[in-house]
Amino acid sequence: MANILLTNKCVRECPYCFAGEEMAQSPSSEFIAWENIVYLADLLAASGEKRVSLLGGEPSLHPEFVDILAYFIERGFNVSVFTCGIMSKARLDALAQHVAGHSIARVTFVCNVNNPTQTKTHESEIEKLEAFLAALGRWTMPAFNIYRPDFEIDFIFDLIERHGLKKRLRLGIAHPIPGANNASIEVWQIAGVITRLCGYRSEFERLRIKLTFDCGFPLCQVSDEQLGWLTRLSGHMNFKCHPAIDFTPDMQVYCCFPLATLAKKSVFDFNSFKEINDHYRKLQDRLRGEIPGIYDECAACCHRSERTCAGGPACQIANRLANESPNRLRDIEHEQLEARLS
Amino acid sequence: MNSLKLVCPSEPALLERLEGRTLCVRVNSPDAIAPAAKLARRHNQLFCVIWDCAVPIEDIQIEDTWRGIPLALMAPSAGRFRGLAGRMRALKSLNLRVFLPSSSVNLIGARLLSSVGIPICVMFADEDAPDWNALADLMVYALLGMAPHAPVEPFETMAECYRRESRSENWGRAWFDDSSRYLHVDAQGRVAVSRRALLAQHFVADDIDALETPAVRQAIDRCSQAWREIFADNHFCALCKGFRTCRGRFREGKSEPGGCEAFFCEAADAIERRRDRSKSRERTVTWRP
Repeated sequence: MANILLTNKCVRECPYCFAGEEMAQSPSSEFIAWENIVYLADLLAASGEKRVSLLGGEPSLHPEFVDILAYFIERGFNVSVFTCGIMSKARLDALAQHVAGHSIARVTFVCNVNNPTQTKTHESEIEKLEAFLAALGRWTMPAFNIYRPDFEIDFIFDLIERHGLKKRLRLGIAHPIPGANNASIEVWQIAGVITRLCGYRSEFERLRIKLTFDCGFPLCQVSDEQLGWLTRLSGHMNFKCHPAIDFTPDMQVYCCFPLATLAKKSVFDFNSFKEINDHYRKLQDRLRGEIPGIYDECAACCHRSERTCAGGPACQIANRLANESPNRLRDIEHEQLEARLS
Repeated sequence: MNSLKLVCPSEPALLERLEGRTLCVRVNSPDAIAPAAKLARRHNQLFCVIWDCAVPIEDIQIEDTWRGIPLALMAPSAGRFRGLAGRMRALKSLNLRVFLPSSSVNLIGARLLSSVGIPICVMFADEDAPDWNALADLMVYALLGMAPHAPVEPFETMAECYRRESRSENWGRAWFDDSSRYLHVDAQGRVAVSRRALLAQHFVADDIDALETPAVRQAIDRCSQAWREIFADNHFCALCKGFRTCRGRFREGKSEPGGCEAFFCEAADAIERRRDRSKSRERTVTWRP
């Protein structure tokens, strides 16, 4: 999956933000240029990619966000926009006007929502989010990042019902970033998180809402009963962690925000999207070669050897390596910098 | 001389006098496109209709009657993509090439339109030097882009003309500026060797009846052989490595380091690379008993 970062700017300050560290180091005024948009669209099209995600920061802050979205649709991509839904009325009107002509299969807004009772949220944020969902609810899939064990998601069911959102909730676990101190879930808390999530079973079933797990949920932390319910509700569940390829506004590339500092390269070092994917898959394999998973038991786990579970997310593994063997992580970092592509 | 195409306004009386000729008919109103094509096809061969459009392409209302008409749409800019996206299907249904001036914004617009399948031509005037670096980016995209896209002129024509032995080949024909192929006629029937000459009222014949005269032939020859003067006068273009690509087209401009010379050298390199690439793609058949 290719993620294109349209800008580094964001209008929120989420305590769990796993992109904050990376964003803080990037020039704050940077927006991706049209030449780079066309280059990336060509790179993906030439590699047979059909899907693209537009990210930020907050992607809708790009002055030509609507035009960029229109462009990717015109190029034949199915587009997901990862947004917080907070945008000016003028931008929202322009966006709604353009999106109205497209099916919900072509455009999806993955709208990251925070629980206003648990995460500091300004009133104007709530108003703007409501306006966004009222205008573009049909195209919107809610997303929620779990960063505290006592999370509450009742408000999401309310949003889905009131605004007719897509009946699928994307759930992610906020992971610690090596060297940073964002709010996150520790590996030993994951089982409790899943148990708490399953506590909302009746609401999921009442509204027929399916669940999608973002990368990094370890299979061993889900009981057989929980897995049975999750699978019956949502179909196949994902316990893997594939490289999410992020392209920055200044045409650098890395695999997912939490690993950004570890292995950043120039887009122009690669000839195809497949080359990029292969490069970062090797990096993940390299990390997992050092530490098989986030738990000690991962080393001998049959789910990991059968590749039904990744043994937790690569960023957690990197984090564990940073704590247990910082020199080895530095070696890998050095290898990545030295790596010459064929 | 009959092989020359005439670029002329859509004046019924003029078109009647040009019977049997191949015409590029110039209009400045969208309502005039279909009638001009019809009129030209009555007594002449229509090569294309040239519409000098005053608004960005996103503001154009596309008519069904334009289908089947070869249309050269000369617009000031492309406009915002969101506006274009809604009319892309209609644009693609036309036999169309979009012509844009070479401002920086238009170089981006040209790349966008090409990438979504709209044939494009960027016109860089002889007197106004464009942003050569941005133009070079577009040229590399046009000649070596990694994904399929619509042709971007004048780079395709430049690549065609890139032959050392024929220095009079003129890639300006991409925008009707090549007197060996196009003559420009005004409403009074006066003839000029280029659009620029026509606007400056530098005519080579005061009437289209004089088209077949030796004087006009000589004027055309003078234009196509103008490169010789560059060498005879020891002009700095004669020493420029980019000459084999540019053919002295910017001899009237200022010589700036990193300007046209760098661009045309890079263009030559890109053309060579494209030729090498297409040669390597040619299938080799291995002999078998």
